Amino acid sequence: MSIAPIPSIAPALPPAATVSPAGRSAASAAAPGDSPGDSFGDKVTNALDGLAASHAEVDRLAVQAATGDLTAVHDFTIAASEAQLLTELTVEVRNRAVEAFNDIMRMQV
Amino acid sequence: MSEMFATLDVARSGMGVYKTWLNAVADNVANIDNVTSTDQPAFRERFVLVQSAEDASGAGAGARVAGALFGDPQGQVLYEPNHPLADENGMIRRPDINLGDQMVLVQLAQRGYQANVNTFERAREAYESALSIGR
Repeated sequence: MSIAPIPSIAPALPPAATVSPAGRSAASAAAPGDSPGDSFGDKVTNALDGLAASHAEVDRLAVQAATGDLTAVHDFTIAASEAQLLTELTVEVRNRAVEAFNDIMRMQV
Repeated sequence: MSEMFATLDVARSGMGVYKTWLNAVADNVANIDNVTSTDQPAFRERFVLVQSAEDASGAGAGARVAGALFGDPQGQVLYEPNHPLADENGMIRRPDINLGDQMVLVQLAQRGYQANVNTFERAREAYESALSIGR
């Protein structure tokens, strides 16, 4: 007896799907300069750099808000929302990667 | 910000435009009763010039303030002989701005700003739901 592949998710996956695509999409969006040959670790590091820059921007705007130098209120709230989204995305990517790793580690050989 | 949250940046540019417009209309209202002597120009109504910002994809990158335009410096010449600034004929100059029009513009700018905030919120919710795919 053979097990049929799951056709419904196959079109959604990029060709030659491996463990890295989740990390690649996050890292390449946060740091478009990285090359496709980078390891998953490099990509995560790049994504974290982007995240840190985003949070630094929020901190800068928060200081401006506190000192009365903020020119537009929405600049701060938008930067905060973007940093929050980016953090959630990074955490999600990390969780999926760890999940995949654990799945492999639990595999019975 | 990155390409990933492009909609948020577009909404931000819209908010910036409407904030500038609100500033301009508020300035018009603040100066609506300025009186000048007839040898001086009247306060000129401020108009904000807005252009769309293009990006490579063609989907658009929002709006941007391209500058300001100014109304008629003639204003209205009115007869107010008791006014300290009146000339020998008793005439003074007031800006030719209609307060009713300005209040409508304030409303439009406010609604436009709120619409952009709504766009932002919808986009944020969409991105958040994308994060929960497969959870």
